[in-house]
Amino acid sequence: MDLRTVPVPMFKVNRQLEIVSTSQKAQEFFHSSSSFLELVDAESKQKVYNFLLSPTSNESFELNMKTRSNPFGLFQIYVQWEEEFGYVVCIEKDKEYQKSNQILHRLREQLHSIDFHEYEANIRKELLPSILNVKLSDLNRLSLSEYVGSLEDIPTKVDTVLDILSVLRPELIEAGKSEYLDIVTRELTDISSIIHYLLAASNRDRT
Amino acid sequence: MDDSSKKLAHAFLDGDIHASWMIVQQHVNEGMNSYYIYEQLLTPAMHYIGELWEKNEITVADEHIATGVCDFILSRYSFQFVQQNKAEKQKRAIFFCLEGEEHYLGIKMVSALFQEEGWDVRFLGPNLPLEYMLYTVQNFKPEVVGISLSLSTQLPQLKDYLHVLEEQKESLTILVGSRIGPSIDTNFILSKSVQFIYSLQEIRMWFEKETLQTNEEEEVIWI
Repeated sequence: MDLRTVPVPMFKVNRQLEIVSTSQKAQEFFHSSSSFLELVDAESKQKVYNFLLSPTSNESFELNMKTRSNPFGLFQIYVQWEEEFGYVVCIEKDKEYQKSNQILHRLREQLHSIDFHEYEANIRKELLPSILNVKLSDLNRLSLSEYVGSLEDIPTKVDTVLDILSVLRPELIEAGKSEYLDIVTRELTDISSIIHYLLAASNRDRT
Repeated sequence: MDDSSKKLAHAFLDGDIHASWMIVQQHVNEGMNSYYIYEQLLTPAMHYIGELWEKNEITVADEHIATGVCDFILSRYSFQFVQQNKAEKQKRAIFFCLEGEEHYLGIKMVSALFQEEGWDVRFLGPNLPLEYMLYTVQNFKPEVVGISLSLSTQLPQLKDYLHVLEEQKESLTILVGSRIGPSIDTNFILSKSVQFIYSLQEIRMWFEKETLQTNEEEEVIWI
């Protein structure tokens, strides 16, 4: 096979990883070298011993290689050994990673300006609907972070209403409205327990 | 390696922010300080991810996801030390990686430790061109400049940055951090204001020494 015409960087190497011949593309990408190892970044060399030289391993793997334009270019390596010679194909990967690099860069920029106090308050807000089985839109209207002070006042206010209701109790029974009184009392007691739970949960998160 | 670091590494690779945060939170609850969180938990987790790449178990794409999640966790953890109201006489420091250097998590940890010590800090991120460094130094006027590099091939480039910094009128302390370790040849650096740092424990010692010097200077003023 004439290696020179292969349209990707390809090397024919011996067991000592000395380069026997290369494709034209390999010469375009890499500096001229007698050893394949010289083209590999120092921290990738162990991977060459483990995967390129291993006779049992036929899986492809990533390597950082020194190209003419980049001392740290990422390549996907494929190898096939035929007796004493290995045919090594190197497919450039840097372009594939351009987009993920950009996303990572954007993420890093955003992290710089995140207010994590606000982030944690939002997490609590997202968790509450599942705990209480209420609609998120209702909770947004409540805007818990703004009214956190008022939330603590609710149990006292509910207790005051319950006290007044108990004062009115005899008159309401006399007027035949005791069933309504029971419903109102039960609803208020439920509201009180929900608020107590919310307060306990938010205190626990804060500590 | 600590089992928690391995668990954390897998949570990073899964992109699981919640599980990652819970592991860090558990150590905070057990009383671990920032040095432990950074050096015994986050750093070994990222090293383990490097080993997995070496074993061909993950790809660089997986490493990118892990880096993003680790950055998020580090930012969330260190946010507690961000000071909203800056004091007038606060000392200033800037931190960045040399142009072309993308491994920024280590220097971000150092930057967070300075913030925790009450310094006014600017973290300029990875891959910072020399001109931007110079612009920030002239405008922000830091007392400390922290630089990170990870390849020995970047040493000539470091020399250029140091040369520009030494030309500045103000006296600067320059800290150079590198994961290459003490094996690199630093003989070309003659200035006493340049100090090589290879671990966060050395940063802790640097703070102790700096506090001692500041106290001594204050005592001299009182006399």
